[in-house]
Amino acid sequence: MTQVNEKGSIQLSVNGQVTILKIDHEVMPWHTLLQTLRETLQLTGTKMGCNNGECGACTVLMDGKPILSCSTLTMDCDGKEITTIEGLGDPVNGVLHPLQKAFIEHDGLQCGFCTPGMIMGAKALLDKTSEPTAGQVKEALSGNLCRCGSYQKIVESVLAAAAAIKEG
Amino acid sequence: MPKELSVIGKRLPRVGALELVTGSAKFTQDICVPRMLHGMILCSPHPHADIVGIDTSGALALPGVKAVITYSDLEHFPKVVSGPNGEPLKILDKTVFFVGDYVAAVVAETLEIAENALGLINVEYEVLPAVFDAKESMKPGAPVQRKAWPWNVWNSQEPGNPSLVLDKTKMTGGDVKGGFAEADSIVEAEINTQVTLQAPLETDTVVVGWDANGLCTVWTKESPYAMLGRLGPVLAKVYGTPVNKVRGICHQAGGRFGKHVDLRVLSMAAMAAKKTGRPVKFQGLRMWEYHGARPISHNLVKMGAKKDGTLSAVTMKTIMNCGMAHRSASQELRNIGRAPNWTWKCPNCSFESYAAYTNLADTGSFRGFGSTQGHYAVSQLCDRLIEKVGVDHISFYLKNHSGVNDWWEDQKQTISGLDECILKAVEASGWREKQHKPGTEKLPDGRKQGIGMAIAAHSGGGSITPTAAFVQVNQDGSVQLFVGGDETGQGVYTVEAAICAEELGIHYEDIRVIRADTEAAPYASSSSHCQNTCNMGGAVQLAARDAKQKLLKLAARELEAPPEILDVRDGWIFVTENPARKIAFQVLTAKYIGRKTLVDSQPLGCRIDGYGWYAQWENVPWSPEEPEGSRVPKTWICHIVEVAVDTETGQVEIVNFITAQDVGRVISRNTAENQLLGSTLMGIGYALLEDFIQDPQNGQGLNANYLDYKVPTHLDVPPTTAIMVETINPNTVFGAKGIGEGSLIPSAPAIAHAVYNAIGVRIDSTPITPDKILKALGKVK
Repeated sequence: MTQVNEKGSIQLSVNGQVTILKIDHEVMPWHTLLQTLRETLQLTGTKMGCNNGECGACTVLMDGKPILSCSTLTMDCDGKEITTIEGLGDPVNGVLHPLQKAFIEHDGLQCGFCTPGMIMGAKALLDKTSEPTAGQVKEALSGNLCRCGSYQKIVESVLAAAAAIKEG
Repeated sequence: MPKELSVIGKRLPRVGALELVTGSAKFTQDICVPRMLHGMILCSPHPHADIVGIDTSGALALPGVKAVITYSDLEHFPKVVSGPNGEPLKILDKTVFFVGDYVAAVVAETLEIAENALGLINVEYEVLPAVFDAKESMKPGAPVQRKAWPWNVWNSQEPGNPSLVLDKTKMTGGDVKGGFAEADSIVEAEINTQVTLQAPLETDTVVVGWDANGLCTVWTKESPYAMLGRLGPVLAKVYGTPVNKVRGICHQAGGRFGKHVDLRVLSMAAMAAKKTGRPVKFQGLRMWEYHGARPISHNLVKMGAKKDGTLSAVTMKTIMNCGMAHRSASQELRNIGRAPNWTWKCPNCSFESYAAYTNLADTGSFRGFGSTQGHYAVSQLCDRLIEKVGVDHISFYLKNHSGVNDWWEDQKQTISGLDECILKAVEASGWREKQHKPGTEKLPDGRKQGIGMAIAAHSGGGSITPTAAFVQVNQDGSVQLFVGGDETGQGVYTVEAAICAEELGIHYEDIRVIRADTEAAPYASSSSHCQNTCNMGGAVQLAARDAKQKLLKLAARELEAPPEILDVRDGWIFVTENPARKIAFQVLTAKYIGRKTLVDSQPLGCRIDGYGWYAQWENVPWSPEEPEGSRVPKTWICHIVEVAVDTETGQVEIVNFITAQDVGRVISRNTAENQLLGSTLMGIGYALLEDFIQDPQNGQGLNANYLDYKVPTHLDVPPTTAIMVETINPNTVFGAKGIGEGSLIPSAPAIAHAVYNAIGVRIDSTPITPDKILKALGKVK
């Protein structure tokens, strides 16, 4: 942390883009990654449900692992690779990730507020376990709340995406 | 033979799904406008107190603070009515009525500054006596909450009298005394229900800004027209703002489940934006998400039945703990009372209800509004009666529920699929084979097993709020549909696009729904009472039909046939008797729309729009005998639940859940399934997990967060089968019904009956938690 402060800025990769944030200007020591993403970088796809690490709506990937961006200080993200929902599909041609396609096709959502976090959590699972069981999906996403109760169709969506990825 | 449908009833991709899965959907939380300030609210630490001094100078001196608002700034503001028959309240009052009541608001350059400024406001309180229990608050000498009702019961004319909510209803009738006299079995119990939170993922957030012309733009989480109806009068009174200068926008809401935007916060945001000349955002905090929750109810129910299981009398006395205010106490009490009156057919019944004020937080509407509590109470007594009389559950339910042509209070049932729901649920669950005496069956792992059944009825489009819709057909054959209702996750835009496509005879994908914005869409009802499928859908169908009639006239010229013998389907307009004589929708629109074609020297075509206005009093037939609103559709539900109960830990596991609902005509199949499954799961949360705890010492809410207030997670979803029974309602668009609330309602009673069947002891209050089970079994004190 001390080293970072001496530099006067931190550098992180967000959805493949190198992002330099000046300390005490663009990033304050108390800023969470969620704040930085939503307010500083205007990446509002990541949602704030509780701001307290309880609901999973703010899930993003840090170096491929799912983290709660509301409970992560941006200052601790120096040198990290962050992937948000905006970085999941192909930004140039708009081609969706198989998870995004499956969530549409299987209606794995209702209000959709939990969806970005749910999909990022699922992405982390599929990167690690390419053919998960329904039980593994439920376990992996048990920290992602869906108050609309679309859980069955979310599990269906993740399993369908896994099958689609396998088929290529 | 009925016309085959091309779009309705199919699996349809959700309107807006692409935006939701890519993170580009704009929720109210995502709204950020230039120069926007941020607001925070100072809340009362006392349950009941007078503010005798308030010093805001410290807060105002903090750099970045732009305004501080206290009650003295709002003296010229009218009281606001939070709901259709809620009580007028001051936006900020000199008296606070619960821990968390609003004392002051700060707006500042950043949320952090606003939050820091709260600590610099010095308030001097004179603490007053407080009361938290509804029964205590109704006793003589209890601290007075409302000067208008000094005995703390809303709309009660004399001390000790019930709330007057039943003046126009027939919820009390027959000969109750005689009914009990002829009963062979009588049961009686008090059933209590808890406070539950809607707890939508997106918190209640508002953004308000004014422009140089005095146009006030408001982003909220609810129907912009509903917002306009509530905030509009405030702005008119204070600033002289006409209705045409209030713009409401709601592009996407992250769930509401009955929770409405807090008008007190919205009014403060509008005032602060006006005062500072800058837009203001009040971002809701999770710890504030307890306002307007489902209230505690105490229900004393007595029921009698004859030997053959026929109900002979029902009485229910309900006391509802409104907290400091309820946004619609009358409607909630009526819905509680409708459990014995709508669902059950009993000639002799009485319902008496009290909406009591206390020093708890304000309460309001929640999915399954009132029916949830009412059905839990009445069903618990039905289950006792079935056991005492010794009749079969199925025959008791089939015999005693209301049916077609039965009058319910002031409404008449026109079609009901409940018998089919019961019989299909019985078959799917293997009910008959799984019957056993309470407390007698064990699983191999030692847990007790049980099975329970419950039924319910609820509004399937019950409100009579009128709605309009507008359809614009473009030269390329694409269509915009303008509707003003709010998408909160229920899938209303998907449903409306399907109705529009079906009526116009075009492909679902060719319709784009323009999201709720009063600058774009005509007047619309809000997403409440499950009314948008039927009311807004009715308006959409009429708007599409209006456009279709104009298109058929053009097609008639092309096909050389009168418009009356033409039909539309799948993008074609054709002669009904000879479908080979046809013209493509897009060929027709390309030829006429945006062009000037002269027919008999008159321009034809150019522009094709459709307008639809739907109001139940105009569109549903009525007569003096069956007055307007009496034929609004109802949805019927039967749940059968199997549980395994660990009598050492008190844990309940649902091992099988059958939900069968009369859903009317299915419009979008996957959306309907999601609604049934989600609503059922919310009912499971209500039954087993959810309980908003308020400190008995000061009424303070202790668990307005997802860690301590348990909503169901992925791991709480039992194996669930959703059975949709399609009855075609003669009075609604394509025979549809609103369905989103229904399946929540019988979840808790069905689970309670199953738990009783497993352990042989009844749990009379919700939620049914392990500690209550262990206490009931005598294993803990």
